[in-house]
Amino acid sequence: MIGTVALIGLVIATGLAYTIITSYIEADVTKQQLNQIAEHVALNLVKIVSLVKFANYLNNEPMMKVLKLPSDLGGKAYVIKLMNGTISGQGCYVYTQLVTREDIAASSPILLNSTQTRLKLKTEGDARPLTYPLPVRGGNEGIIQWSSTVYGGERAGADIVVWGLTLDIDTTWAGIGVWKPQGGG
Amino acid sequence: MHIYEYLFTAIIIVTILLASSTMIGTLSGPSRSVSEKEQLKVAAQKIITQLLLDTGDPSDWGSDVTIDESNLKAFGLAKHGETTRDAYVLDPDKVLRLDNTHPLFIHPSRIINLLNLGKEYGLTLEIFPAIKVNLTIDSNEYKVKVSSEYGELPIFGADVTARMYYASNGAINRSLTLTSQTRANGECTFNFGNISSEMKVLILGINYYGVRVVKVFPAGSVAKAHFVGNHLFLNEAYNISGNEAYEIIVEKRDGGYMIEDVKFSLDKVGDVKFDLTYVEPSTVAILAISEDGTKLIFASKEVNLTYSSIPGVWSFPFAYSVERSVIIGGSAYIVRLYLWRMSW
Repeated sequence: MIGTVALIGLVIATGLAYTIITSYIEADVTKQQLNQIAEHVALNLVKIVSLVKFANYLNNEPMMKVLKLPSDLGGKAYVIKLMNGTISGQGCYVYTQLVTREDIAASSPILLNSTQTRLKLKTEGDARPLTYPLPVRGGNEGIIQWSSTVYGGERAGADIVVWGLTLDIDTTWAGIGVWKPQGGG
Repeated sequence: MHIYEYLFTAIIIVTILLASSTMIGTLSGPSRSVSEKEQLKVAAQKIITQLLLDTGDPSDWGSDVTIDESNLKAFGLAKHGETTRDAYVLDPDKVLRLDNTHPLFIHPSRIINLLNLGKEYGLTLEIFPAIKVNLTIDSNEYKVKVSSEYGELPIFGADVTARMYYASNGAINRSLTLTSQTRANGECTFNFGNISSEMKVLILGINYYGVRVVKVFPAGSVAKAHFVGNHLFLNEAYNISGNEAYEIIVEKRDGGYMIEDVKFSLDKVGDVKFDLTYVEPSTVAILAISEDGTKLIFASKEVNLTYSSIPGVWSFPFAYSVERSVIIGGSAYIVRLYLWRMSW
């Protein structure tokens, strides 16, 4: 009798241990995916900023690039944030995390110093004024709803974008957001 | 059940758990490794985009001698233009500041800091001419060998334009401009006649189907200097004869290159620092003679450097490299970035 109970206990413990191990590995894989997404967003942000700096600032038109990102990670929603850690010495960075588990997160540096240069990144907590939303071709093409936080994935009529806008010779804005084409809801 | 049967069953269960855990771990290992390398690749592309397409801040930080490590706000090597800009055209004044012999050298730790890379990444940047040029001197003959950077294969049919500048009787003289084409072994020879002076500099313009490289060879006893914007920095304190400097200009023309010089005056603003009244945009080198006539001072905009965040040999087995062709001062160069993570 004791042996049977012990065996049942062992089976349950084994199952639990297996679940813990697999969830740890799953978390590790998810973290890798979040890291890839963060790197991808940071790369495209750096590219769009370079492109915007090449443009003539007199046109006052935002430039953007639609990012093809997975809609979820293993059925779990994730969030992308643009953070400013300049005070803590981290600089600006892209931060990605699972919505349901904040401990599963990753980050990628943006390589650009936003506080001292002409570039202004729309990071979390940035209260500097900027037109919202940003109209593209006077709003006829669509609008960019900029935000320091966007939920990952493709949705019908709303794509995640990186955007940049040179307002004048001393001011270039850049950030992430959601692109809503005309009639796209 | 007998006690041994229980034990045996328990051992089997534990073995299955261990085996399956090991298998899961082993199976996810390669995909994790691929994923990490992919991240490194994206990070390397991000860094090279920033380095080669961004001007940094201030945008003319290379030629502005008041800008040093402490007040450089953002790092980028692209050439700034007030009206137009070309992609992958770098500012020689910015690039030369990565040379550790430069008086306004920017330390790699500062660059790592400006790029927000923290202690997570290490990098090495190599910048070298797209075409390799070697010079051997045999009496009055100057043998130029042109080869590719990859495997040093000889380049046949490259147009080479050469002109010698030399100091004689306290003045700077110049030879005729000679042109030649490399043979099958990648070599061509120039003979400038008997130049008795030991203080001479050979300027070469090489053109291989539009890929242009300018080389400046000190072919004798000369004193190296640096020029940044319109400032000339000497390695030792000299007075300059007549407070004059010759700017060497290499410009394309029909059928080859023109190597010419323009004379401008200098103002001494420090023991080793002079200001030029004007610098021609296509200047590739500056020549001057010391007041006592014993030194030919030369500064060139030629780049060939390795810049690394770690000292010594930087061979990292897991480094990812990315390469781009760029133009620096009108010459074709290769920029190669090696990036690695300090820990995974």
